[in-house]
Amino acid sequence: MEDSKNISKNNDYKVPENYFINFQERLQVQIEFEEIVGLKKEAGFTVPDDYFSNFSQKVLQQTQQPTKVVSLFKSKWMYAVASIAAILLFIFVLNPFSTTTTFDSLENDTIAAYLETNNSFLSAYDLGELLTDEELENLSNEIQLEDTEVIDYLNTTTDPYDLMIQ
Amino acid sequence: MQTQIIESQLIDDLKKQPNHAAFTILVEKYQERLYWHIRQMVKNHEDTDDVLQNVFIKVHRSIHSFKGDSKLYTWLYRIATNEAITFLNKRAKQYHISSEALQDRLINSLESDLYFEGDEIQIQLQKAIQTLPEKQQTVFRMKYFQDITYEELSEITDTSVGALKSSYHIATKKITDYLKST
Repeated sequence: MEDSKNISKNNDYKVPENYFINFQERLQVQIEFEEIVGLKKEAGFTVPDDYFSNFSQKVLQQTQQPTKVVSLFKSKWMYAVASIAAILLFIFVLNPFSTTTTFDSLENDTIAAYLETNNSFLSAYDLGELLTDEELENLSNEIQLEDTEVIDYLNTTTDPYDLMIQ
Repeated sequence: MQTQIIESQLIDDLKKQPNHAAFTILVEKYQERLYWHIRQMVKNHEDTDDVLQNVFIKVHRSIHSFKGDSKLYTWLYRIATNEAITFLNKRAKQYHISSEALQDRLINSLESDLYFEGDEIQIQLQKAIQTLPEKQQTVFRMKYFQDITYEELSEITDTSVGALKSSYHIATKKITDYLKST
């Protein structure tokens, strides 16, 4: 303590506040650390002989190689992600389940063409099953056929031999 | 000043094509410093070799975008640090383990490593460093093992010298406490 009092304070140099308290603590930690670890600052790692003397040539050769093109579909995950994306695109953009087309909006010709091409699946019996008696009545009232149309139809769709039997 | 002139000349030469001679100078100048920096992080020689090659390949590809806002070694250290961290994260994901568990595994495999000649205290030191937060690990390794100055560290880590000194002191204290308890 006496010594501290005798130290001349008549100088222009200053130190940060609590510097000497912190200095003692830092010094103590450093001494304890070195007592345990020792003075040599080596981690113990080594390298193969001549590793560094050959390294620059090895890297230089690698930089001369053309850049590899990495396939987007390198992993199975990418295939899975691409498949799911395609399905979502199909559903939400193309929307095959959309029912915006109503029956009323269909042209008669379109319906006729459909029935004609699919008539093997829809017989007169099927129609009778699908429609009520009232609907069938209305249908027969609405269809006004000329005689000539009936004859033409019979000529093209019926076998004369069948008519003879009936 | 002389060093800065040489470095700016090297950067100019690297940006020209072909730059084989300049690139070789760059690699030979920094390969050892960057190797030990990466090796401290990934531990194993083969992995360090892979990471170091990737670092220089990336440097070769992107040297034209280096604007000189920072010093060349600062830029190189940052690339090397990022590349090592990326490598470790990939490896942890590959093994389905945490980064901490990966470090434990890497340290435990040191004893059978052909290129590790450390003793028990050096393995314990690695384990102690592993317990520190990532930034303290980096500061401690670069200061203690590589003897990088605080000024250089400040540029590399973009942290003040005062904060780095404090970080190093705290790291040393924690390591000492860990070693005393084992």
